[in-house]
Amino acid sequence: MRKIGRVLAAGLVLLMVSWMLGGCARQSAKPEPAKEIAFTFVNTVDIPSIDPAEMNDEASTLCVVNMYDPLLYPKVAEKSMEAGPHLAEKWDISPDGKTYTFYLRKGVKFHDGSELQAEDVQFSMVRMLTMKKGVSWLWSAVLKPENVKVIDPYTVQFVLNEPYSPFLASLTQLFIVNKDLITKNIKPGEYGDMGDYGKEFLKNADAGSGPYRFESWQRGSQLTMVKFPDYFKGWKPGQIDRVIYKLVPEEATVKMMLKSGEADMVNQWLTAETFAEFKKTPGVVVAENPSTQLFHIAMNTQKKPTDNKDLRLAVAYAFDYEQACRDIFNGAVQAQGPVPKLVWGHNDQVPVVKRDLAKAKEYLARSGYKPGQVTLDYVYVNTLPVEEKVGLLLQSNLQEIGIKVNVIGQPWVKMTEMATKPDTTPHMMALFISLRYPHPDAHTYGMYHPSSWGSYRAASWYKNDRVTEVLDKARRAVTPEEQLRYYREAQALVVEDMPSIYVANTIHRVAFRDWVKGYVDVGLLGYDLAFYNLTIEKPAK
Amino acid sequence: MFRDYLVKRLLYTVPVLVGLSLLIFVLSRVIPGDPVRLALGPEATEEQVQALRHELRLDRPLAVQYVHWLAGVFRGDLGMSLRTRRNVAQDLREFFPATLELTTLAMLVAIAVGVPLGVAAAVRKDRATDHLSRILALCGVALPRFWLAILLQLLFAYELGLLPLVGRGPGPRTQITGLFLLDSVLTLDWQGFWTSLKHLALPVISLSLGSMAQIMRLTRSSMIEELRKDYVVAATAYGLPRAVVVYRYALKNAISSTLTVVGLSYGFLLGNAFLVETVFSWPGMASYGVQSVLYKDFNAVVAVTMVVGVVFAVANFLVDICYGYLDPRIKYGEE
Repeated sequence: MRKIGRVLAAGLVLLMVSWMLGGCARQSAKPEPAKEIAFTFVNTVDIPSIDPAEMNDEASTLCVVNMYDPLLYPKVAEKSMEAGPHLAEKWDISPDGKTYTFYLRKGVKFHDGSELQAEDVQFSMVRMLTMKKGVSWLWSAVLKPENVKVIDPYTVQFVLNEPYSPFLASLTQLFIVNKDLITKNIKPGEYGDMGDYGKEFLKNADAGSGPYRFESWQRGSQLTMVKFPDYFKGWKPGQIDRVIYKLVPEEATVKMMLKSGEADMVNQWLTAETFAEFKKTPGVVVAENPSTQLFHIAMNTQKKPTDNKDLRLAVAYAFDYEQACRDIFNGAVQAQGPVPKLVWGHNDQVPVVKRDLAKAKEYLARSGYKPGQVTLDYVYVNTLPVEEKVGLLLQSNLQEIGIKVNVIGQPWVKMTEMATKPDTTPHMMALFISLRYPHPDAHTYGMYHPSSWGSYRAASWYKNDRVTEVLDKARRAVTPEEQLRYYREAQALVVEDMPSIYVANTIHRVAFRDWVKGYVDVGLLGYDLAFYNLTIEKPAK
Repeated sequence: MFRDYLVKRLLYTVPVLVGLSLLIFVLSRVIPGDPVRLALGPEATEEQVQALRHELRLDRPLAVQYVHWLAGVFRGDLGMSLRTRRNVAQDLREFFPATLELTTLAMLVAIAVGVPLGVAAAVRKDRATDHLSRILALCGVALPRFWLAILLQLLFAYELGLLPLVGRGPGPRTQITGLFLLDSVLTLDWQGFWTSLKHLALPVISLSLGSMAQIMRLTRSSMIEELRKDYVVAATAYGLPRAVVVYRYALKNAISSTLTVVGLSYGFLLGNAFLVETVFSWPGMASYGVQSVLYKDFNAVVAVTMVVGVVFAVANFLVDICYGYLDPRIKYGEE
């Protein structure tokens, strides 16, 4: 016992001395090279995967954006989300809108030094379609693996099953992997000859050509990427040499890290109150941009009583948009129809509904329902307080015209299940719709075309033959002008029927230290965090 | 006798662990919500969902899934994590040592501080030391761990800049067990040892305070009772030094109840370190477990629960062995 006591006492003394002397020693055991520019990005969200075929959220997308190159890249320099040349320098589209031929840039190197060629592009798309993960849903309905063809080492062709106007935009999500490197590293797996398609290998490595190479990943803690000196777009002074992605789930800790300068940039998922605090902090910049995210309340048009258009209009006119945008979404912009204002193809002629109780009562009278007769269910994601607040506001607003609202919280997974059938979909469902590819298609075809029924996006179960026809034509249209005309027409027609309460286009906020320059948000998930576009005007840490 | 007892206790743990695995396996799979949809993201098509469901064998009956899982456990395959997309065994190899190191050190600090303070409080009952230890114990029990953690961060990391704000540090150059302090000692990497120790300091203090308070109060009350006994009076009357009477005789008899708390607290700390791990962004198993629950990552939930269960069983088994050492009157075989 005495011995144990002595050992414990010695341990305790050692520990205390360590703490007391802590400040004298350097914080890091591995000093960085003198002139290296290191950049710490802090996120509260963990990275599920760094494999381009598996990316489906912001954290994985930002890693992929930094380590790989997409075939087409949004025109960030022009502050536009429109897909522009990148690995593909130019392209042709056949008159029937089905065949797309891309001509690749020569001399682009992968991180292992080999050249990126058409075979790699073909391999990347086929891998995506075969693995059926990540964003493969973008192409799975319109493209068969055998229809991706290599014409020559620098030309690749995609032959679609049918015209699909968002195709070019969707290629901002096709990141090219190194075919040779992956095929050398395949392990036995579920994809026949291709084994595991390199899935296991890409858990601790990259196979890209992007500006940063994978260096290390301590799961649940941090991921480090370092500059790829041979990046095809070259380097200029002030750009970041080393990116450290730190996972810090606790918001209070994130605040301390940015304020103390331990973090250079923090993510968008912090509360509005935290960003308000950052705005008052010297040396911290908060970038606020209207986002390309729509928050709407989908009304089930195939369930009584929301199948009644006049009742839907009564609900839409009773809702207080101003209060929702100001107090709940902290300065968001009221949505104008389904397509967010920033997205190419948004129709700015669509009428914006304002709260008008007289009109709401008039529409209610027209609907045939009397005040006190109607009870509606409003279902929201139970982990999102914002949606609950909207529900409570809606409840109080509709009470004024004699409509009762039950505000019901559900887990997200349960909500997606509910949205698979019209009779299980509630009267009203609170939904955030994010933009995955820079095109109005996702907010129109994906929400209001009958072929999208069953997805949470189409929770309105909307059907209007004219709208269906226009959306079909929009997908078949080849020229951007023609596409624009149809998508705008579709938006106007949809809003007339009011299948949703279009509440807000939310604000996208990111905070960083004032030495970080060049931040641009074009509204496309993950691309604002392409660290190659940033420069640091401060000596290396 | 003692050996038989130990064998018997070891055998008892087998049905307990099998029962635990069955319970948590079924619970993790029948809770509402579709983990596959959650993992694939909101845009996933039905075809994608079905493909992953098949890959994870979720389209088979529950009993078949359990048998397959159990067979996998013996091969070291704990199934794929939906969140990290890796085998859960691989995740645990990475996350478990971080939590083990944190909780073990926290427990050692709790014992090293709690026991002497408890003894001092009992010896100097109703005097300043006793009152001070009472205040410390009250704070330790009443202050939420995460709040204390944030306060410590604010003071030592943000304001004074003495200790690191988050993380575990880079660790020693060569890693053997994944326990950074131990690995640093084994490889004689003193720089790594120093860095790891600094990263451990604040999380360990935050985590240990609650257990330290419990140990302190329990030791105090047992010691007060023990110090009143006749043998203590007799030993003192014989002129034995006070320290010998208190630490060698009284404490040895009083420590049994504290030991029980240590055994229980250790398992508790292991599973409940997540608040401290979250604040300090500590890449440990507790926060991994909580994230897995939120994500409905069923294979990870089962594995973390089983690890906590096994550690709980082992800790209490070791406590039983210590009872035998401390109190020779215990005749296990006669139970």
